[in-house]
Amino acid sequence: MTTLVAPGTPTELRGAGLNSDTSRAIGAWRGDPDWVLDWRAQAWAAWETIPMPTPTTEGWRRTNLRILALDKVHAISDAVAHVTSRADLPASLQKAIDTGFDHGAVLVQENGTTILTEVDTQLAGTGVIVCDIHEAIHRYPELVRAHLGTLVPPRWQPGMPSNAGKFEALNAAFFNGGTFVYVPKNTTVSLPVRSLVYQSDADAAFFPRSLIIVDENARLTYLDEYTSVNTASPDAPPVFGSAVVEIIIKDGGRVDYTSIQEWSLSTAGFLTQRASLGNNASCNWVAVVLGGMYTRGTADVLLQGKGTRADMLGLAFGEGTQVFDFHTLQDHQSPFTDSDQLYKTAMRDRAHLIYEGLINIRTGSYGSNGYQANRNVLLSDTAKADSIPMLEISDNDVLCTHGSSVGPIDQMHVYYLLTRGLPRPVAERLVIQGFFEPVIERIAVDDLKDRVRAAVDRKIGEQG
Amino acid sequence: MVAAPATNAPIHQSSSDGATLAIRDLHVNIDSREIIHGIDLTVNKGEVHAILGPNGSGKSTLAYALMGHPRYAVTSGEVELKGEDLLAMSADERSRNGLFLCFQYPTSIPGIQMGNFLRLAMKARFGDAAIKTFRKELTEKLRILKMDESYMRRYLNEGFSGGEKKKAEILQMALLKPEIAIMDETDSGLDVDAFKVVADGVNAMRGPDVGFVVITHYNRMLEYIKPDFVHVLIGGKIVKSGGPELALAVDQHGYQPILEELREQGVEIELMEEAGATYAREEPTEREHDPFRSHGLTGL
Ligand SMILES: Nc1ncnc2c1ncn2[C@@H]1O[C@H](COP(=O)(O)OP(=O)(O)O)[C@@H](O)[C@H]1O
Ligand SMILES: [Mg+2]
Repeated sequence: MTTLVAPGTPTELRGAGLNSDTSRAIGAWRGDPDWVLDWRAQAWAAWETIPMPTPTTEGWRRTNLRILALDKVHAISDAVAHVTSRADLPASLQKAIDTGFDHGAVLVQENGTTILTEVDTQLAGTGVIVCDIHEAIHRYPELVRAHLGTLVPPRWQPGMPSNAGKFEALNAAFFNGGTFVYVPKNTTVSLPVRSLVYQSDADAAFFPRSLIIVDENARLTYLDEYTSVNTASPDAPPVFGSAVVEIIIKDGGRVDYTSIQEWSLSTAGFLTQRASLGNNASCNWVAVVLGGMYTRGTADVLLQGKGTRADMLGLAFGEGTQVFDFHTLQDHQSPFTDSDQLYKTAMRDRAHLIYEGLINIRTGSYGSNGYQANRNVLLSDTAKADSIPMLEISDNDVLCTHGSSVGPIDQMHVYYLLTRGLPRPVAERLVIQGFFEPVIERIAVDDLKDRVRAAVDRKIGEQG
Repeated sequence: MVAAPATNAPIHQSSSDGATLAIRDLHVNIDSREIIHGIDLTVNKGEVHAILGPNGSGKSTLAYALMGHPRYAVTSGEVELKGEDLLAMSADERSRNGLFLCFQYPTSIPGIQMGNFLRLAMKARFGDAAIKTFRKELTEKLRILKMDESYMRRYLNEGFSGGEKKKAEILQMALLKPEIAIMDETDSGLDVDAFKVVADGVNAMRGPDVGFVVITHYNRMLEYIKPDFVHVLIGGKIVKSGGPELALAVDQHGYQPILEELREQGVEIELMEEAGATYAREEPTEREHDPFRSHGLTGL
């Protein structure tokens, strides 16, 4: 792979805070063309203009941003050396990517630097592009420029809450790292393309921005994974970052997208994912969230084309004092669009789940179906879940249902397993796995099912 | 306690010392209402005990209490399993120590695959070594019970017919090889074919290593699984014990003669509300109390 990273490391930037100078300096170091530099500048301006959400801001009522120490984080980390093969990766990353199934491509990024890129030669021969986002800006400028920021623009958008887009703007101002994928028309990528974003520098923020374009009648399976280290000491400010993923699915395209967030428990981060679907496009989206002391997860599907279909699945398991702050949108913008959401979570100890999901059926979206279900299990008396499903319907001839539930684990299920000799922790774990299984079952790719099961098992096996 | 009539079969009441399962003066409450009013019962390995009784007499309550169901509170009495205090054990310990209950209404648990569940249960009871022989054993038991391999990929009892659920219970019993197996109306709600398969499954397990407590509503089961002892449970008490001839008498004349006999002797029987309507020996209906169904979170 040709490296477009300037020689030397941004060592001189290290220690610099989140300000406009640093934003410009990162752009210069990355060798950004003018339009990207402008874009960063616009983003910085948006970050400064959009008011910081407070506990009285709609959509942020249950969110405590005081845990962030934005004045203390470094905007960028030292660049990390590239490796030539998997064998040279740190053991933890090797283990993470070696999960026993074949990939079409793998990109491993550490602290914003793409340190390993593997693309199946056959895949490359089909015109499919998988590379670092900065590399893509230089090598495929038109393609990137036409799409970057179209779904998650670095500015406030009319019609959105006044605070929306703040942390997305921060991402755009400092973006460093991220994956670019392009699948040409009529091309099927059957083996999963994987991106693993790892933050090993606890003092520096992470701002990856990925752009995935699936052209007409093309098909992609994508696995998007996020991990981070713990802070050196428990009372240090949390590892912080804001990640953005834009997924553009053109007419007739299909994406199977699975994201797995396994940040450290001392990480407070934002993960904003938005997909747009052209005519008759579809996506099967699974958001797995297991890590993070605070996670603001935004998952939006924009059903722009006629006859589109989006399955949105979510799964989260929390323990300790983890907070999950989920906001989802099923935005029906055209006739005959279907969306079906199922989010399931289990919270233990003092973990807290917030779910706000909106189905928006816009005028002109007749013949559409929107479904939404959020089911939460509380495993401790001190765990909490606030579930707010919302419907906004501006057309007739549509079918919408939504529902949510919060309750304890079914003790009768546990009892049955106990009577077969399973010790209580094993029985409870099995019941939780069973609770999540309907979500996992709906993942369209078998290898990804097992990957998600393994991640869940790792997490819920930690105790008991 | 009414003395059992003379019979050729040995009478079990003599001494409970050293017995596999020894129940002494057991009292059980549901929601602070006493349902079981003092039961004594001794079961040894190799024996088959039948418990007969009309609906609502407390048969399931006895079974649940023995299996450590959290809603069934033992207020007094003692139970020993192989000389150890059963009541001090958690439900899972009871199971691992060799007690098994075939539920009258087995719970369905979506999301848990039968095969995975059985493997974990075998591991819990017999340790890691059991995993090696698990597949072979499973295949053999499935054959005896005329169950298809595909059951293993299905969710635990989820969408199973009544007969399939009961077979799945017997399958678990056969794999876990209990020393005391309680079967709570395993025969009810089965069609003739399923009934035979279940009965054959039980007979295949019978032997010197396991003692059975077969709770049943009527005699059909006992024609297949010949009991050594028969007990009649009415109003939360065992009112009569005997040999197989007692089951025959109940089958022919119902519980009325026993009740009259007791009344003549001045023994008071507290009849449960439902009991009155169920003295006719008919299939229990689905509206019986089902502690699983009445509790629990739906919609998971
Ligand atoms: N879950 C329950 N909640 C309240 N009462 C119950 C429950 N289960 C059983 N009972 C009561 O306990 C008595 C005995 O019931 P049960 O043990 O189910 O009888 P059997 O199995 O002999 O038909 C009945 O009066 C019934 O109403
Ligand atoms: Mg019963």
